[in-house]
Amino acid sequence: MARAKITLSSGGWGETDGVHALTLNDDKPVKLKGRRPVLLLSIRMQYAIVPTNDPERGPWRVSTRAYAYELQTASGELVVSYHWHPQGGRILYPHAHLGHTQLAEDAVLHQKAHNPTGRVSLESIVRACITEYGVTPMLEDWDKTLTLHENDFLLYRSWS
Amino acid sequence: MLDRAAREELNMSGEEFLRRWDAGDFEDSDDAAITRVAMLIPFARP
Repeated sequence: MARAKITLSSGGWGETDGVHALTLNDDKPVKLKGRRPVLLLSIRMQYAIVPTNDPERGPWRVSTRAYAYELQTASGELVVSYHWHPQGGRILYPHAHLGHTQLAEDAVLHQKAHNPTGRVSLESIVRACITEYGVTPMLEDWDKTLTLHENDFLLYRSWS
Repeated sequence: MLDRAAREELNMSGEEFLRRWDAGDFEDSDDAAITRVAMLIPFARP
């Protein structure tokens, strides 16, 4: 789908106190492969490294604290974004924003509206890029790989 | 990284963003740009 480097905040590889942040490519949106017109993906996440009692997974696991996944046009205009940021702001539940470039002038839907969603996994965003937006996967077994990791997310998430 | 995002998305420095974030200026905001920038706070303040 794209080659990208994961960028973590200081201590994000293993410090178990505090909240860490993650982006791709030093927070520069990533061009997705095989998609015309071009589609960019921006990922910002916050997470904590927390103890777990699960003997097969422990003694530590990563727990998501906030996310902002965003698809953009080549010029950086918002297409759609999925947000959850319970640490601040007026809207604390998971929601989606639709970009104004995708909406008619007289549309009821609005860029500033917080459309409620369930909790959205990063894997589901990657899957939607491939199945809904025509992005080319880089792995032949992308479906199996995403399912494997998403099953972990579904099994071990602390809320939904 | 936070400074760049704050300047690009909110037209303020990262330092000003952190000061206003800590002061609670954004608590009632529903501006998606503020929450996107806030996501990068750990890069500026581990």
